[in-house]
Amino acid sequence: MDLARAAPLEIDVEAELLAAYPALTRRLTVVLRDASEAEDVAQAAFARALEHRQRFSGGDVRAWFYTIGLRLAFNELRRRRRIHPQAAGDEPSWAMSSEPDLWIALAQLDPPQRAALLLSTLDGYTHSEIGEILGVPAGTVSSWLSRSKERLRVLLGDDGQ
Amino acid sequence: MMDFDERLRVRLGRLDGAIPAPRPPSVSAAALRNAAMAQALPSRKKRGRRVVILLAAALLLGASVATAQRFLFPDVPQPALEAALAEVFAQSDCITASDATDAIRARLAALGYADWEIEPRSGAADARCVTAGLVTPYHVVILFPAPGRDVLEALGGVADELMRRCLGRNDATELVSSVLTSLGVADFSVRADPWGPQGAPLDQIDAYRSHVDAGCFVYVGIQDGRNVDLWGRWP
Repeated sequence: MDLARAAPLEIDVEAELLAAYPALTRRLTVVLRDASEAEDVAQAAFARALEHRQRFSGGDVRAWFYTIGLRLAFNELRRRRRIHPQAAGDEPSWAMSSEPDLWIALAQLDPPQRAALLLSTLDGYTHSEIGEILGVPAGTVSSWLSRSKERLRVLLGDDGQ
Repeated sequence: MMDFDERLRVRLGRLDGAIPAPRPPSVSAAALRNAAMAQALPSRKKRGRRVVILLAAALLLGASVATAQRFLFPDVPQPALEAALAEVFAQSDCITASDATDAIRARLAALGYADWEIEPRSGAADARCVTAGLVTPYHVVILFPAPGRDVLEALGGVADELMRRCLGRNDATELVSSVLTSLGVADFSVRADPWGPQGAPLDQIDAYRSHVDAGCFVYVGIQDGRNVDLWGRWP
């Protein structure tokens, strides 16, 4: 293996992972609804991405990183449901001081739907790209987004005025 | 006037901006890279095993360090200790926590790392096999459950078999279960969830995706030494 030639590619991937780390942590915070757990999952995703970086064949590093992080988050949510079904905690002060009704309304969406909404609205991914990240067909993403927005519109009392 | 999508984007952006900034990843990417490259390993499998050790440190730094909120020692590479650990785990396909503790303790003493401790993490004491990682800031060697080389190799065969044939959720789950049971592994789970290709080999990702699109389930990894993940089409 020619390390001198391989090194720059590795540095680029790592740099992109580091650059995407804060955004992934924020997405996970909304999906998991817990900033502390989101950091733990993001940390694990970062380590796993580094472990598998030799197998990254190019393309969108951020999307690949999101795929790993969200997969770990969904596993965590399944584990959490088994251990603490219907567990509810105090709402975080940062959410209550910024968009409290939106934060509470988002809890009514399933975690994959929350993730799809964030990836579409904040990251600008297409339905097809979100499908790749979440492992579902683009049509499913379209359906999730449509239903999520309609649900939020009702919950937020946004009648377009 | 903004439409609902635009108002939602603005509000989500506001919520996103209020989320506290995360701490940087607590594992040093450069240290991980340098350690992984420090020894020229002849095969991807061996390199993978080495990185598993480093990965453990990365995973556990998050939990251990975050809990105590302090660093006692500089987080610097420990090539001699890493080599010693690699040697311990190279000697057996599957090593228990008790045997690993004895072997590692002897090497710590020989290397002059008398202040380092060995700490089994959740599930390690009763696990069929363990592996180890360093948490350098605490001078701790952690032990955690691992599948063992025999199981990893068998799962490699399962991965190939699931790509050769087209098995649905139940048949694929049964195949994994029968292989693990035949190896004497009792405490495992098979998670045939649909969340995507994470863990699938990226150089074969198109083939994996095509296979899944055809309704087949594929093997995409094992976590915590006992949770086997399959990937299949969304129900």
